[in-house]
Amino acid sequence: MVKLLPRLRRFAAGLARDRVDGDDLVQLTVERALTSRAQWQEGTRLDSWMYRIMRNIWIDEGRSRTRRAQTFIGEEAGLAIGRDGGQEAVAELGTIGRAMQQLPDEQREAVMLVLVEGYKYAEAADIVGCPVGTLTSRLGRGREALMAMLGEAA
Amino acid sequence: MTQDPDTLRAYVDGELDEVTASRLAKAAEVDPELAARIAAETRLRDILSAHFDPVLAEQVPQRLVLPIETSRKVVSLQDRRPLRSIVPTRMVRWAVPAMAAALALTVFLPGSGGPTETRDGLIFAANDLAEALDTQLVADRVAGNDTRILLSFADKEGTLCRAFARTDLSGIACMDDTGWHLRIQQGGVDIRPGDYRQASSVDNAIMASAQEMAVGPAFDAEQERLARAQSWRPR
Repeated sequence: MVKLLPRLRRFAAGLARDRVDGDDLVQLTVERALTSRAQWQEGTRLDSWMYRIMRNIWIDEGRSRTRRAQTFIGEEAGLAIGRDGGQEAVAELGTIGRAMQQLPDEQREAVMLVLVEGYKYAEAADIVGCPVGTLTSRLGRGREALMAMLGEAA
Repeated sequence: MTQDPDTLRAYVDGELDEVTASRLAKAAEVDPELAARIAAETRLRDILSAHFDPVLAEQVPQRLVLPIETSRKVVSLQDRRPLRSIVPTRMVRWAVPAMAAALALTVFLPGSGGPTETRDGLIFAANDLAEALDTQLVADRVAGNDTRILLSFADKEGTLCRAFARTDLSGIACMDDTGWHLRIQQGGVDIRPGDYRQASSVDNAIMASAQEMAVGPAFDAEQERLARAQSWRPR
């Protein structure tokens, strides 16, 4: 499980609003995995199981998080690339991070799982708990939105 | 040749069967527009990887590693019945809530007036920490005490050891010839009631260490009083 931590942190960095929230998410994931480890079936992939736990915790916390994120990453903050104090968390995200934050949660997790974490469509759909077709259409919309936002950078 | 975007992305993602994939690759050789679309999709993948992959090279914070390593130790020591049967109930009753809250990730430096001092390269309890280890019992939970004693036990040499928690450091100290030697040092804990989950890595780590070190169960109140009366020297 320790070996998985770097990858879990990368996934969390993509899901969460900032890196501190990301590590909180990893910590919750680890704790839940440890307390429910009896539910993990020997022979199945530990990484997929833990990604699923993380993703579920993240979704559970979704509503309050979305509210916070919207007040935080409003129009001004979204444009505040410069360092006007107190905006470090946003500035740190950079262009890519901000573009990712604009994506709906379901598209963001699909993008992270397939394009960053390298899961196959079927594996990613299994983690999310949706049909493969649903996953690929979320992924497609996410990609289109990212390309449109990143424009010349992409 | 027009290609629907989904097929094109599936190609970039390596999800197409070989026949379809090679057909698409051939088509791209003679179709600059198709090649450009493939390149754009590939670039997006590369950009995202370049943005997120550096996380993999970072050092993982201790607060994430410790719970895993601790639970591994606890599991492997499950057959150590005596201590297990006493310690968890004790912890649940007061130590866990008492130790709840944020982990102070400060590195503690021994110095004059502080709770530790260094002698012959070893770190010993000093000042108010030494006094608390000398005098306080687990049952003493006086409000305003800076040190909480979590439990007392004897190790395999018969040396008496005590686990403690404070806001500046926590750990396990054992009485040797010259005083309370700090065998285990962990970060401090906020001993006010508060956020539960953040403290768990510290108290888990200390409890796991105590389980490894202890022979027999943790002391009860009577054994503690007796040990204090004998200045924490082995009988």
